[in-house]
Amino acid sequence: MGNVTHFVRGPLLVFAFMVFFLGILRQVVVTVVELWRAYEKAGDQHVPVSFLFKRSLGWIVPVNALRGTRTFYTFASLLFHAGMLLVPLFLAGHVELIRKGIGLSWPTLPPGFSDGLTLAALLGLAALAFLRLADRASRTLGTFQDWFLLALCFIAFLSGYWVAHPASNPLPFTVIYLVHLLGAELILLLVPFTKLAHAALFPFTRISWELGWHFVPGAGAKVRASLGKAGEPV
Amino acid sequence: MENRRIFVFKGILWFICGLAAAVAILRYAFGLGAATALSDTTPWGLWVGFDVMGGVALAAGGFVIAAIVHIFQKERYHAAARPAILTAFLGYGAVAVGLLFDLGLPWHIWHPIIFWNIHSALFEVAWCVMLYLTVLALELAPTILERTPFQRAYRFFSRLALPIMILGIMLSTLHQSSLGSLLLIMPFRVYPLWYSHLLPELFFVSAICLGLSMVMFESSITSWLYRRKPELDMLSGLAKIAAWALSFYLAFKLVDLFAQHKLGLMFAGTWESKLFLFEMLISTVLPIILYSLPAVRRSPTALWLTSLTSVLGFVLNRIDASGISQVWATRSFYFPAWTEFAISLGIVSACGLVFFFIQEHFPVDPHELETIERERATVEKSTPRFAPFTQVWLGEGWRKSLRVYSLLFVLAMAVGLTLAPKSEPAVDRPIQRARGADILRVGDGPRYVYFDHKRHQDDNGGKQSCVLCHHLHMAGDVGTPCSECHRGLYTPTNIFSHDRHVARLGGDASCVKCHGKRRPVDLAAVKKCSGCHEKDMMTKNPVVKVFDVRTACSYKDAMHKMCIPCHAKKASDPKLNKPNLGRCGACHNSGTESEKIYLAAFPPQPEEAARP
Repeated sequence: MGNVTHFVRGPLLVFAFMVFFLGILRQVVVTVVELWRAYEKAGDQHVPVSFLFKRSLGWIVPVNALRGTRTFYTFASLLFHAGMLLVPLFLAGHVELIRKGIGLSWPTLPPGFSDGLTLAALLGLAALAFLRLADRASRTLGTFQDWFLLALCFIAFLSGYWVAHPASNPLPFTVIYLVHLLGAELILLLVPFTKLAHAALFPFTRISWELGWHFVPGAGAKVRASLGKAGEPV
Repeated sequence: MENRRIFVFKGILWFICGLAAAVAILRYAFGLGAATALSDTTPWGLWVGFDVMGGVALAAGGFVIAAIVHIFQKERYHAAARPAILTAFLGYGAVAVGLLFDLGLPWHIWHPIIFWNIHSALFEVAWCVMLYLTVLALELAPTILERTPFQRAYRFFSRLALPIMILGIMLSTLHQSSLGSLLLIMPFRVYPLWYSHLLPELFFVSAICLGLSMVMFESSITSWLYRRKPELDMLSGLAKIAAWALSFYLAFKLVDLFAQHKLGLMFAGTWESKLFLFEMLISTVLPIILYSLPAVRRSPTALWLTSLTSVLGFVLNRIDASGISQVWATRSFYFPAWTEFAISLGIVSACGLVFFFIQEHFPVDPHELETIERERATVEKSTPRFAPFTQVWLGEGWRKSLRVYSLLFVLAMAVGLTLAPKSEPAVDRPIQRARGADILRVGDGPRYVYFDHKRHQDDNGGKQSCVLCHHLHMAGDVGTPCSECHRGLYTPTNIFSHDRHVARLGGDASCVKCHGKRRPVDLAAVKKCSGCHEKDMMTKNPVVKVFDVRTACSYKDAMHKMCIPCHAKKASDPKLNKPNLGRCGACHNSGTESEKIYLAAFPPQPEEAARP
């Protein structure tokens, strides 16, 4: 078992991080190249960049979306994303491991707060799964990937909580530790190749969406007019 | 329909480039020691043999074909001229790039331009590489410029072509031979079968042979990849020329060996002689026979295989001469690390990719370019075809290439960065338990000390003195030997077994017994070893006070840290009057009384005593 743990937290972890960083870099480069090519082919090359930038920023602020049509869903998603962004990066144990590994460290969250975030993320994930089942459209559109990634994140968070609280852990520590490591590594490996890539490609979403309206000059305006929303920004 | 063959081939090249890119990062971050198997005894390895010596020789096709076409006016070989010059340019580019990895201080590569050491063979090599690379760039310029708007520049370089070609041939003559001159200054290092006063000339002649084979190899492999008919007429003509050139080289080599009275060495049965025979067989003898057979000259596959054999043989020759044949003199073992192969193959792959790029976008072969451009135009307009499982369409043409090749490159880089060593491998030797009773032999191999245990004990207060040195026992033991914990001569040892503690303390529930409830779990918060083991394992030693360590320092450090302070203190004591006690020789000596007493306890075995 010691050898397996050693391999999983050694070379495999390095590999996962390398694929994660290099893969994301590749995705960004490919996206920029393709966007540029789309822009060159667009009939109408006037793209409202500053407006799109503000829109993207607006999407990051969760309060705006909470006022939207799917409040509960957005709230569940927000819980999950808060945990997903803060806990892996700022959990004291993680930072300690990073400090031992490469010598860098940064301020950490208090243990109680990160516990709370973890539990909130687990709750959020459960709610997201429930809503995916409850809504007929989501149920029909959902693919294997959607469910798999949801389950993977759930396993990673749950095992992480048990690693931090060995007393409440029903399984042998080594097993749960391995599950946590492998789950997290699988997430890292999958980020560049699945829909998780939105972690890095989020800034480009608005632009590619907007560019679609620009291939035929005035296409966006015509669609707006036929929807009875003439004059509003897309 | 896209050419699948070239697509897969380029994919492999991109993957190798990715590996090389990862190794390149580590080579510059952690140095040659970590990235190679080279040492001070063997400073020239695969990179010099293959990248520099081999790269230059592989580029010889450029000047050979230039001479055949432009000096001897054999228009039949005209089609080979531009590819050969492109190959030569890329070969020399590879040498320059390869040197950047191999030089200890690559940022000094410009020094030969300013600091002239006219007695150095490397000085000549450096200048030849610089000049010939420039000349090759000028020779290549018309190919690149032909279909661009810069028509005046194109006409200028085209008019310049012939004098530049002649200059290039002259420089190659100098340079191919100057690589041989590099080895002239090591007559006692290069094995006699390879060493000769005529090394420069031998290198020059063999470069011509290699150049011809390389042109044939490259021509047949590109026609296979691009699915076009091989130019058999030209290839068989080149094969005939190559057979003559190879025969001349063989005769030259044999006469040279004969004149130096070294012919017998070939059959001496040493592994160098076998290597030499193998090298001559695949580089020269076999290709001469095969090139001479009309059946081989009519078959593109046979020509491809023969030229590949010859190319490999001559590259082996360069690696032998610059590295392997020196092993007998240095008596050191060297086999390239995988990272060295990665860099060498990566440079070759990058050259291959540049070659394909230029071939597909510039009129290296104008006829071929038209076909490629027609194919490209149809591919760009093709309808989407979604992959059945992923429902993804990668696009066609360059979009597909961008996605697939970048993925392969990135994955290879991740693999390379994971696997490549981050530091020089630690050199260590295991420690053997000190033998003897009253006098201990401490250490093993060439470095040992005869340690008079009884005398140290008596001088320091009898039985009470054990704790002056012995600071940690195995549980339930007393006087545990040093070698139990300090297990490596130069490297520290981890002596704490986490697994054993977990098992003894009661499994997962026991974490808190040492780690407490504080989070995060780090070493600062862990219970001290002395909290449990003060009675059963530790002593009140005056030197080693910190017991809460999980690592035992190296054996050498342990001995020095333990002995030197005490010895130094006693040396400065005027009452003892032993001023030399603090010096190295106080312990690192031989022929002492202690040694004699120790050796008397182990009388030599009869057969050992019989040995001289």
